[in-house]
Amino acid sequence: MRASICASALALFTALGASTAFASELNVAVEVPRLEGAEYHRPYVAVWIEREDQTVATNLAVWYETGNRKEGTKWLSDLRQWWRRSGRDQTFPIDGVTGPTRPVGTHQLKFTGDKSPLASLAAGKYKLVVEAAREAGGREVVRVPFEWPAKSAQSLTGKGSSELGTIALNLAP
Amino acid sequence: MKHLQKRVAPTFAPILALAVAAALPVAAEAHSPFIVPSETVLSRTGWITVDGAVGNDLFYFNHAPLRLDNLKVIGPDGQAVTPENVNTGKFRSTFDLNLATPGTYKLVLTNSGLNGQYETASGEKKRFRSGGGRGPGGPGGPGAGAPVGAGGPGGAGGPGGAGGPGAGGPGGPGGRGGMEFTTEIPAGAKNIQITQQQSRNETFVTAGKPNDTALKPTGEGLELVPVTHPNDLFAGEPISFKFVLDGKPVPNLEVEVVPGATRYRNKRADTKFTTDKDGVLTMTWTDAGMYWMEASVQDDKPTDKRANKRRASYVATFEVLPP
Repeated sequence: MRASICASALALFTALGASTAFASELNVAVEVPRLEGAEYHRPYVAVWIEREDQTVATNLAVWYETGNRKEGTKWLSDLRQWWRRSGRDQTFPIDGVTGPTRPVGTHQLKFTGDKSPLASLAAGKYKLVVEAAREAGGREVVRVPFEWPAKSAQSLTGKGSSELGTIALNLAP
Repeated sequence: MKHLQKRVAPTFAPILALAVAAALPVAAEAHSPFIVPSETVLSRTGWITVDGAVGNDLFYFNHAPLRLDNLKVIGPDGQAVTPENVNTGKFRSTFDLNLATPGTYKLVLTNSGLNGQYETASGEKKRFRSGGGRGPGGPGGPGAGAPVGAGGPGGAGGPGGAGGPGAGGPGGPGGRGGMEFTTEIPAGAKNIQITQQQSRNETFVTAGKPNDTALKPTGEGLELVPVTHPNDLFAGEPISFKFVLDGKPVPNLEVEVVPGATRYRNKRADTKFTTDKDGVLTMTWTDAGMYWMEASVQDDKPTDKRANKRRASYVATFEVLPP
C-alpha cells in the first residue's frame, strides 16, 4: 500500500515538475563581507539584471539607509554604475526593490519566472550585477553572466575582493 | 551696431577717452583659468560649492583668483540661478550654489572685449584694451540677467564706467550696451590692429536625472555642444563633444586635455586631440579625475565689426568617474 502511494505521489510531483516555465526560479545570494576597520557602516548595495548593451532590464534590490530621511538618498549616486544606468531615472523608495541596508552575512533574494519582474524578462543573454559602496570604505562591482530562461539548473558565482563577498546565482528552469 | 559705426569711423577721427572696464580677463595668456565644482553628479537636489582660480597647476590655488563678474549659472529650465556666498580671495574665488530643481546646470563665465595696437603719427607703438560686457552691443538696462553685477553699461555718451552695482542690481542708465568701445586712438594713427576677444569658461553639474536645456549653445564664440552628456563621463569610456564657432561646426580644431593632480606627477600629461570634419571630438578618458580642456580659434572674421581679427577661446572642466 505504502509503496503504491509513494509511487503515485512521485508520479504526481513529476508531472507537476514537468509542467514548465512557471516553476522557473532565479535566486541570488549576496554576501556582505566582514571587514576590519575602526569605522564600519553597512554598504549601499544595488542588484540588477543588465542586458548585453549594459542597459538595465530590471532592478532586483537596492539597499540604502531608508531610515535616514535627511541623507539616505544623498549617497545613492555613490553606486556609480547603477546610478547612471537606472537610479537617476527613479523616485524613491522603489516598490518591491528598495529596502534598508543589510548587515554582514549572506542575504537571499528569490524570484520566480511567473511573477514580476522576471515574467517580463525577454529571452537572452544577461548579467547579474551587484554594486556596493560603503561610507568610509570602497566601492566594488561584480558581474555574473547568465542566459534566460535557464535551460537547466545552474549554480553560477562571482566573487568580490573587497566590498563584496561571494555572489551566487542559482537558476532553475 | 550702426550707431557705433558712426561714432568710431575707420579713421578714428574723434578722440575718445580710454576705458578699461571692470571685468577684464586675466592678462597672462599662459595661465589656465578653471572653475571646479565640489561635485558634478548629485543624487538629488541640494547644495554644492564651487572654486574658481587661474594658474598653471591644475587644480591648485597658487596664483590668482578667477574674477566672477560675468559668471552666469543656467538652470535645468534655462533660467538663471543666483550663486550665493560669493567671495574672491587672494588665490581663489568661491561661491555656493543651490541646485533646487533636478536636472543639469551649466556654470559659465564669458568675457569679450577688443584689444589691439596702433602706431601714432610719429611712429610710436601703442596698445589698447577695452571690454567687459558679455557681448557686443545690446541695449543697456537693468543688470541684464547676469546674477553677479556684470558691470552695467555706461551712461549715454559717457565713457564706459566701472559698471553698475553688483549682485543683480540694475545696470547704469540705459546706455549704448554692454561694451563701450572707447579708446585713445588719435587721428592719423596707422597700422591699426583690433582683435575681438571672446572667451568662455564653463563646467557642468547635474542633480538627479540629467537634461540638456542648459547645454544649448548661444551661437556666439567658440562653444562645446555635448553629444555625450558632460555629467555622464567614466574612465575608459569613449565620448563625443562637438565644437562650434558662432554656431557652425569647427573641423580640425585642436583641443588640449589635461588631467588634474598635476602636482603629483612629473609629466604634464596633456593630450591634444583634433575634431573631425563635422567638428566632433571623440576621445576616451584614461583615468577617473577632474580634467581641464581648452581650445581656441584665431581668424579674421570678427562678429564685432569694429575689429579686424578675432580670437575665440573655450575652456571647460569635466569630472570623470571611476567605471
